[in-house]
Amino acid sequence: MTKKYDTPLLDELEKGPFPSFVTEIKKAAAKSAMAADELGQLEKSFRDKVTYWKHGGIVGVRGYGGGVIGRYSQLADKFPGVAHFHTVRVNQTSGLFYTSETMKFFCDLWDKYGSGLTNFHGSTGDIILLGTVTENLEPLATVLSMNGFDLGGSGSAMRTPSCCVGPARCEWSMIDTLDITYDLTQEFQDELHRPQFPYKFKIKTVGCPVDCNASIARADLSIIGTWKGPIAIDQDKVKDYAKKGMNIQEEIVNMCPGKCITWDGNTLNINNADCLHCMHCITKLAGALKPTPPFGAVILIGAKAPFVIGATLSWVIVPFMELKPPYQELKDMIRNMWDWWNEYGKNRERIGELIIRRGMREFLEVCGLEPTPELVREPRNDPFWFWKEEDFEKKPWEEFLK
Amino acid sequence: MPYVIPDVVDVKQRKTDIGPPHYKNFLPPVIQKNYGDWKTHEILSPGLMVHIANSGDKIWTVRVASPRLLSTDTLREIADIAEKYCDGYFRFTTRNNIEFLVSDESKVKPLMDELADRKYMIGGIGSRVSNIVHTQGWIHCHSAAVDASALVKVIMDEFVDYFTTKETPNKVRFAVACCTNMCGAVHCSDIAYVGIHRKLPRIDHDNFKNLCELPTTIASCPTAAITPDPAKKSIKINADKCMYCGNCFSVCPALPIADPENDGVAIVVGGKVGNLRKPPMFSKLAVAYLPNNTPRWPEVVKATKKIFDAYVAGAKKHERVGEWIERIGWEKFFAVTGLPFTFQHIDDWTYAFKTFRTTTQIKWTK
Amino acid sequence: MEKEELKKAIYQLIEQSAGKKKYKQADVIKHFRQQGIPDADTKAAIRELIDAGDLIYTYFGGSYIELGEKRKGT
Ligand code: HEM
Ligand code: HEM
Ligand code: HEM
Ligand code: HEM
Ligand code: HEM
Ligand code: SF4
Ligand code: SF4
Ligand code: SF4
Ligand code: SF4
Repeated sequence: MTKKYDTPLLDELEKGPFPSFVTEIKKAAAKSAMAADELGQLEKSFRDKVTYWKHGGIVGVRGYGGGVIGRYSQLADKFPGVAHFHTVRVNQTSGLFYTSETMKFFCDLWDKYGSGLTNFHGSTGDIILLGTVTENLEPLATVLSMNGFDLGGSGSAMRTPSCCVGPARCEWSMIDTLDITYDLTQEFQDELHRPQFPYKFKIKTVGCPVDCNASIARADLSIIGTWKGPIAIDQDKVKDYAKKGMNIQEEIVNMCPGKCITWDGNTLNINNADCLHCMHCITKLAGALKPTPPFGAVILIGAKAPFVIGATLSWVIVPFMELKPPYQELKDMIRNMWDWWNEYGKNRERIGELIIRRGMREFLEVCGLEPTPELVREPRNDPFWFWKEEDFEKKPWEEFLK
Repeated sequence: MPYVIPDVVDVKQRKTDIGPPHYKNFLPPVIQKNYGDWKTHEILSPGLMVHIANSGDKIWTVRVASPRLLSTDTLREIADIAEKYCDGYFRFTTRNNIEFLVSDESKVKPLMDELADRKYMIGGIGSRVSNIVHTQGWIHCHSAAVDASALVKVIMDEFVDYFTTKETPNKVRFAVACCTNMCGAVHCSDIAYVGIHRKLPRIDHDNFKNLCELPTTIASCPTAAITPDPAKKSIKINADKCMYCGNCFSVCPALPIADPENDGVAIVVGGKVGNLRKPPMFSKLAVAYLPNNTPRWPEVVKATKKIFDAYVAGAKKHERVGEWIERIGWEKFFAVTGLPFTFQHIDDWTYAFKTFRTTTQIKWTK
Repeated sequence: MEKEELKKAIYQLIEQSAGKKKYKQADVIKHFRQQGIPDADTKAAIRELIDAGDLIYTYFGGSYIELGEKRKGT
């Protein structure tokens, strides 16, 4: 029998229709002393309105610098079951697909070595196993590896890459998000497990500009599928939508940011030269419109949370890159930017912050990228620009004199 | 693949750098066959969609909510259900929903019936509220200024009809981050909550030298607010620079920042990540502070309802919260929601001036 | 420098700076680059020290390399 606590405050959170996390902790608490004390400590947090966890940066498994997040209770005397309550991050599979057999393996594993509490999934994408003790870490990592799984990233490392469901179940995916994610994860195992960067580095890949994995907001390197061909139109299906009550003029034509669609009640026309590739018309008229090749991806850099320069969204660095296995061009570019970041980055400086500090030009040169108008919203509006020696030899005006 | 968990584990057998298993092992056969060759999909009901391949093959997806924090008991139950109706195949979405992947149409209805019987919440597909992305909170994090799972629970309880049945003008994406580190992805959500501290870390000078390393502590501060205090063999914190981020506490337990009376929740609105129509947008501050009234945060629920109802009433079809606000203007947003506008709403961080109004174009709201 | 010699030098660098300055992997690499050691050699030597448990990665608002005994102490 595990210890039982009165939890009047948490019990309030078992009421209401949405599935309750308190119920989940109670289920685990019936079997695990760790989970029981987690429940007890959480009730106390709700009573006192503060967290009772301590940070711990030293736990881990041999050879790796990440994958385990040390966590200790401030109230170990009172709640000995959570004196150690470390998190283990397990690298998820691309697209978050499971078989019931795999899931049961994780259940058996975690009932044996941990609290029985999990997150499917953490914000980075990993499987999160919540709550274990230091002694269990090596055996746990061993059993994971025997069964083909490995730990995810944490600390100043490449974090576990993640992606949208992509070609596995989405007609809009213009790149193979699952394969790119798997391939990059395998390619950069060293950078994932052994923190060797100034700070974290996240890669998220999505199949189209809808960005179902919030890549542009959450990844240092955002890879977003897009297309260059015209949008193919099935006029009959468009008419079906109209017949079923869609106001094509209001909902499609007027909302197109490129102002490039017309509709005369019979035929939908798209001036593809002015299309911004935003996906609005395509998602709203699912099945009637579809993008056509060439397919590729926009590569963007630099999204990060607010500290220190404020939050940023990723910036376009390559307007269009074809992504075919083995993705060599992409991998070379990533290695080049890492070398530069390792050379100049300060501790806790994200790559986006370094780009601001040392200039986008230097970054683009390091990556072997050219300046093009697609990289900016508009050209600079201050008069303070720099010249380098090599610029004096260039005579770009000769191009338009021809 | 048969899984093994030996009774006695020889840790020398651990293989490193193997990475995750290949995803193909986990895809249902119909997905393997039609991988990258889908034609279209239809949303049949709020929790059911069918994807149709160019070959004519179909796969049905039934989506249910989960609290993300899951016990092994519940996971086994989910696995059993998937075995019964889906040949064992299921997946999760980025927003922590569970998706049962059904290849045999005749099993769709029995699956949905059993899920309903077992009180799973079916829904979340299409123009409505989906599950809430969130962080660890008091369940597991030392930085948390608020609990995350509890906020998710009380907000979803309030808007549950918009998950299971009712529609909204476009998707409404909620997010919760329990401190300003924002492990979650709140800065680009329609409506998001951030746990905030409002007072400086308290310096325990006596314990500082025992518990903390001076250089590490100074380096931990993102705003360089920490300087040495040689007289006390401790540190000083510059009140004008400190942003209450709690990083220093992460490396130095003698700098507690948690404060039951002053910690609480901010609400930010109008962000989005997709490129549809307008480029991605950041969330902006709607409510600077609401108290931590455990266990159900009534003020937070009420404020959210004001924003949500005003959006549902005022937005045009397909407009996200941020697009609606941009169209009506921020002065009007504060007027129609009745939320107070305070000094905290006016930026004073690094690029503050970028948000000051530089035009005479103004809508009169009173 | 021989690999074993390099490993010893790396270990000493971390040992002598313990409590004063924290080194990241890139800092160690740069330190030995100044002595003419190729980056790849230093990286390989660090890897062996980590695999053997003599050194470990730690996390305090950023990942560092520290003495392995620090983990045993907790
Ligand atoms: C000083 C800064 C930070 C500290 C001390 C910190 C600390 C932590 C800790 C302790 C955890 C583990 C929580 C747990 O599982 O118990 C965590 C998780 C995480 N952190 Fe941070 N963090 C910081 C900054 C950030 C930032 C800026 C981001 C990104 C915006 C971020 C993203 C994440 C993510 C995605 C997770 C996983 C959360 C989850 O799975 O729910 N962190 N962080
Ligand atoms: C107004 C000020 C805000 C700032 C300065 C800010 C800052 C940041 C920063 C710096 C990151 C990068 C995370 C990373 O480093 O990986 C970030 C990520 C994020 N922020 Fe914000 N944010 C702000 C507001 C919000 C708000 C209000 C939310 C949500 C409510 C939010 C949610 C997120 C989320 C979800 C992520 C992605 C984390 C991940 O999964 O990697 N941010 N934000
Ligand atoms: C390439 C960079 C620029 C140069 C070389 C430049 C140069 C000048 C000069 C010589 C004047 C006349 C000043 C006077 O009459 O006192 C002027 C006026 C002005 N500039 Fe610029 N400027 C530049 C960019 C900008 C930008 C980017 C802005 C605004 C965004 C701007 C806004 C103005 C304004 C508002 C005036 C006053 C116009 C008036 O009196 O009617 N300038 N600028
Ligand atoms: C690219 C950046 C520059 C900008 C935006 C700029 C802008 C201006 C502006 C707005 C004025 C006032 C003009 C007026 O009153 O009609 C001005 C005047 C002047 N600028 Fe510049 N300037 C720039 C660079 C320079 C440079 C590089 C020099 C000298 C090497 C220079 C020398 C002068 C002088 C001497 C005046 C006074 C002219 C007069 O009184 O009529 N400026 N500049
Ligand atoms: C933190 C932010 C977000 C997360 C974590 C998120 C997550 C998700 C997830 C998990 C899905 C289901 C995809 C799948 O089948 O696996 C999805 C679908 C989708 N999301 Fe998001 N989303 C976020 C924000 C957004 C935003 C801002 C938009 C739009 C601007 C958006 C638009 C869509 C669309 C259009 C779909 C697919 C269509 C559908 O399911 O009906 N999402 N999102
Ligand atoms: S990002 Fe695009 S391709 Fe990926 S799941 Fe979303 S809509 Fe589909
Ligand atoms: S994708 Fe966007 S910009 Fe292009 S035609 Fe459709 S709505 Fe217009
Ligand atoms: S958002 Fe802050 S408090 Fe919440 S899990 Fe992340 S670091 Fe911890
Ligand atoms: S709370 Fe954050 S900003 Fe304030 S002193 Fe600590 S580290 Fe610096």
